[in-house]
Amino acid sequence: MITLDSVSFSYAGAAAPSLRDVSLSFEEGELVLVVGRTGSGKSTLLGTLNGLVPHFTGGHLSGEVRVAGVSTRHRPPRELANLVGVVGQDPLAGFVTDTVEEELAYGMEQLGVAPAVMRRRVEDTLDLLGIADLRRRPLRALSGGQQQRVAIASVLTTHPEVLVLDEPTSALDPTAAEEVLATLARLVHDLGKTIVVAEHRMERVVPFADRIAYVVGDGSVEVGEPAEILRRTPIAPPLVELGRLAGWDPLPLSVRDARRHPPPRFDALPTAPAPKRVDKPSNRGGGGGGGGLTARGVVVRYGARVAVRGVDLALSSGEVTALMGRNGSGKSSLLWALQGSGPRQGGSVDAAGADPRDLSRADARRRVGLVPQSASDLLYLESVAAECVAGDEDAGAATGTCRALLEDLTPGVDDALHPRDLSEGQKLALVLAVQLAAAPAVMLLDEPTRGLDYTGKEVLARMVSRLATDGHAVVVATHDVEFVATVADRVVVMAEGEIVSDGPTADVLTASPAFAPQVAKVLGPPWLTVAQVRDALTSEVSP
Amino acid sequence: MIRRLLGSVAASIALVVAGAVAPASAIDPGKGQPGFCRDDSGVTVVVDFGKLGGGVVVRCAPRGSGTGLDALKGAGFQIAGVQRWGESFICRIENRPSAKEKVPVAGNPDYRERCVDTPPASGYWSYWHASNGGRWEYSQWGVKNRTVIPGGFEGWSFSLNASADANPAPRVAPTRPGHAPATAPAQGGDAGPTSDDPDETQAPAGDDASDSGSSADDGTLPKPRPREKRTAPTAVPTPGDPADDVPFSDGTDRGDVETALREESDVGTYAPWAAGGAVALLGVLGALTARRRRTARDGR
Amino acid sequence: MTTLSAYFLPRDLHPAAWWVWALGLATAASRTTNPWLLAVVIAVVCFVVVARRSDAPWAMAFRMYLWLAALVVVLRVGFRIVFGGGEGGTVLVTLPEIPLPAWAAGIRLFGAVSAESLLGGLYDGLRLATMIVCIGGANALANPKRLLAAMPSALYEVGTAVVVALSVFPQLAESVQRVRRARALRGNRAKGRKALRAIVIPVLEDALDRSLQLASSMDSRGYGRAGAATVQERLASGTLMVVGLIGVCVGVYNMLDGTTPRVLAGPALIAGIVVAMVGFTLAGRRVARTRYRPDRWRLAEVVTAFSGIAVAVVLLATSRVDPANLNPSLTTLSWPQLAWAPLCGVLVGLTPAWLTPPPVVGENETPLQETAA
Repeated sequence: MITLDSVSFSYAGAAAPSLRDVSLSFEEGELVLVVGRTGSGKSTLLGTLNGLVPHFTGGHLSGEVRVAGVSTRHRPPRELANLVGVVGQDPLAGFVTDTVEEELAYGMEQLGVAPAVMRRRVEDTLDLLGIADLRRRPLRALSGGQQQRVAIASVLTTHPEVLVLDEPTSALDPTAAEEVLATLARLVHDLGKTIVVAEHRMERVVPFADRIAYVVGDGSVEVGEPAEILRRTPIAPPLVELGRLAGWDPLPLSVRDARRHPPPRFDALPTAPAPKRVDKPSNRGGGGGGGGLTARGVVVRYGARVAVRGVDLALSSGEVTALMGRNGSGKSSLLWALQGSGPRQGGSVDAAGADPRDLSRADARRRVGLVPQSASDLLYLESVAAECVAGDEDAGAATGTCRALLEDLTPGVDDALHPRDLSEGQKLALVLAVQLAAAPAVMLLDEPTRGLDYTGKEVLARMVSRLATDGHAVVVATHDVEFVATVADRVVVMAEGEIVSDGPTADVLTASPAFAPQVAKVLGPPWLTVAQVRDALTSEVSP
Repeated sequence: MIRRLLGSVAASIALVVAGAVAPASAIDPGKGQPGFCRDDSGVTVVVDFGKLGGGVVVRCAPRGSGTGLDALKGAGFQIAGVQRWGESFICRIENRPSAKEKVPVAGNPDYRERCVDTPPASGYWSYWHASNGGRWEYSQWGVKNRTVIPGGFEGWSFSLNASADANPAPRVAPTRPGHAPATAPAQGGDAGPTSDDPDETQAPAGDDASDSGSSADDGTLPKPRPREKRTAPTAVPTPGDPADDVPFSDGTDRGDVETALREESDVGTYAPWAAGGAVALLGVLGALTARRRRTARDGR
Repeated sequence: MTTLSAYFLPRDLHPAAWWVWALGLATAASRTTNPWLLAVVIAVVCFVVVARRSDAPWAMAFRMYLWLAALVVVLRVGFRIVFGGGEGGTVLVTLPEIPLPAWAAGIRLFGAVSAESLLGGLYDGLRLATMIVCIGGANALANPKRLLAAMPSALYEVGTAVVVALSVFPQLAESVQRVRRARALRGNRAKGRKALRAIVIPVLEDALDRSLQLASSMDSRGYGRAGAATVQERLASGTLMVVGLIGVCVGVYNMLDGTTPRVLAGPALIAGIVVAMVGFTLAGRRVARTRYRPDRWRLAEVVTAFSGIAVAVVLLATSRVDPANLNPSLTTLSWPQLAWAPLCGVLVGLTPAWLTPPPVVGENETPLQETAA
């Protein structure tokens, strides 16, 4: 169905080619997962499949890309629209019309399909994806999962042979991600479509994948069976790392595979992992005076809608708290209210003896710092150095504070780079450094893991641990269960504006199957992360 | 809500209007005097209907000060300005050209003057002024922007299809009867050479407005009437010769403007009431409909 | 032959029908300054909007147009008070006059304020306000995006560009809000131009990103798939369209102006329409695009459009016959007079309130949005 024949591609003005002599072929009816580090060329590879690369992006492509026998050499993407459907990362940015029904019909209108046929196909696709009751809704009013499904539906109506999805679940909470992936699996199994998916959070997709294409980063692509490829990749879901650790062959791809492995699953594993971070110089004496934060009865309303309903929260310095909950449960509203820049209609917040809302913005950020969801909203200058200088000025700190912090967090960032050219992880580090220049005692991070690959998340986890060791109180709002298992001491779960559970990580994460990390699903509580297992095994070996 | 606001504004205007309706009549005999002014204390206003038909009307505004507009109104003429600029631009004098009258301007023989915007240059009331015994000057200022010359003349002449240099002056000479000739009239800084022959500025014999202009005569046959020397190349009109005056009236024989207006249009006496009633009814119906639809929507 | 109940089945009318109706009323309003007629026109538009608009958010914006119209009237009256309100006999109040230097002798500030000049300003402002209310009514009754979708295929690209631009503005507003909040987080105290930079740059970068994403998405879905048309064909059809549209513009302007040579009015309008139609059909033939559930032009649309045209025709005809009460004189202060013919003509514009199918309700319920997850 898809064939790449000695394809090489380099962007205009780039030093090295993004793809170097890639030859591969995808069969009909396959679900192919494309994995690779950020910036390794996944998006480029996906772009070649429908002609966006090189017709839309520019650059130089040599070799031949054939989709269903049609070459993309002389055909721009619009000529291939009936063969390949592309769904991007941000569905809302790709919507052309106002309502669901019109969006579904848009592709067919462009292709000149007869009106009666259009009508029928729209109805069929609405049923297929289970969005029939959404048909007249405005697109902006849908939830993230619904938007993603509508985006998939809108490319399905033209009956393409191939579906290409670039990170479809990155912005979704676990439940919505499950919905979308189940839809994709159904499309593959029921309709026999060929689907190519690029995804950072491999653990969600690996169980469904027929084959994996690993984009190495030097321009080459390795394609093979999942168990084969995952043996060698530096990035792998926790389950696979567990399998590697245990030396299992073939590697487990899903929790079911791992649990069906004959016990004992590990030799001589202690019953419980060693407690984390015993050598922390933190004073776990509650917040308030020593650099923590106490919030009581916080209420946040937007008109008639109550986003946060009387939340009590106490943060102590040196502790990392994870704030979890589905989209719309009030996590962001709570964080903004704690920082003092967001609306707060009730309750009290005490940070180092003062309420951040009553202070000036400059004073408030010396007590509580916040990195918002779209971190790049804070960046407006042309180089990393300029941002750091401005960050020092804004914080009233000594010159060079911000740069030193950035170097600590992520070494090796070039001063002259434009902030928008940095990778997601580097951008996050830069914003974190800018906010940390004011040396706040409490640091809040809103969804920092979006768009980060495993390596990026490891780096972030290290940054957060450093902050905690230095005595900050850190709150991370996220969906990512694996990340929370790695980094958090305490987990607070919110739903409908109220706190549903609040306790140590191990207790909360393992209390419900939906929130359990993969390791816990396999080995049972209290094991949460591969690192814990690795430490336990190595300390066993070398006592 | 807005409709209620507009309604209350309309009502307040109505109160004002009801208390201040001026009596309607043609030339207002209560204002001004017919004919030329007798002395220096008033201003004579000459209105020449020109190609509109209607002759010339000459009246005196007793108050010799104020703007041209004050003089025109003070002489008793009924005027109408344009909707856009108000009375800064005079559109109708004594309801001429009326809204139903066809004015044959160049390019549009059926043109009707609605007095909404400034009338076209091919059909409008041109404004002149002169000092007593002088000559008509096309005014460089608007009717509200200049003060009258006490004892002088204000002229209005309907200019139809005339070019910018050739607007017709009023066909009555700006000389009060019994007035001594002015010597070497040099008015308004015009550049043309003027003759200082007193014979030229005066009315020739045969006219009761003549005076000692021909006193230079010594009893022989009167000198041939001096032709009005064209002091070309400028287009400054020579001082009017009262002998060339067309017959004029004092306007008291004209009809009532208001009656004329009412006859022009077939107004219905009760039509405004019907309109007001329609607005009120629609307002009530609209409020009811809106409430019905809102309850239907909320009840769903 | 449709039965009566089928005729009145709730549906949304073709947007062009509402626009023709509203433009007819606006044309009628432009021919008169009689406050009675204008008030009736405004009442007619308001009633039809209340009776026939749908629940969509854009339909609820009609109130803004009413406010705008009121503002226009207030401004006109205010100008008369400030810049020249003393003509006419009935002086209401005498404000102190501000003397101006001699070079501005033509302008007078404040001074005596007379009822005639206020009324003149009121009539003038009321006419413009009525036209604004008519356009607002059309906007409230007809979905603007469906109107753009109903344009001839030759103008499709232009229509799409306008639709995309219309959706950019709410996104921009949202971007600006987000960036301003982020600035507060950063404690950025800069004011003036530096503050502008800190807001504008991220918003523009965001907008640029989004527009690139939108462009690639549209490209991938087949937008711009032109059929086979040679350069000469495109040039010919483009020229015809442009010339035709110019002719239409000239014709419409002269028709409404009334003081220009008649040959430029009717003949130019008709010729322009014909040429434009030829250009559109030529250009539309090469486009291989279909429309999903297009709005159909049925009897109800004809009724609506006809009523608007009828109002305009009645007022145009009576202005020829009966100009006096269409522009009430301000010579003497009295109630403006009104004839029955224009009044009945304007009331014809009420027919769409009853003789058209009711709008569809209950489809635009949106769950309450969240501003921050």
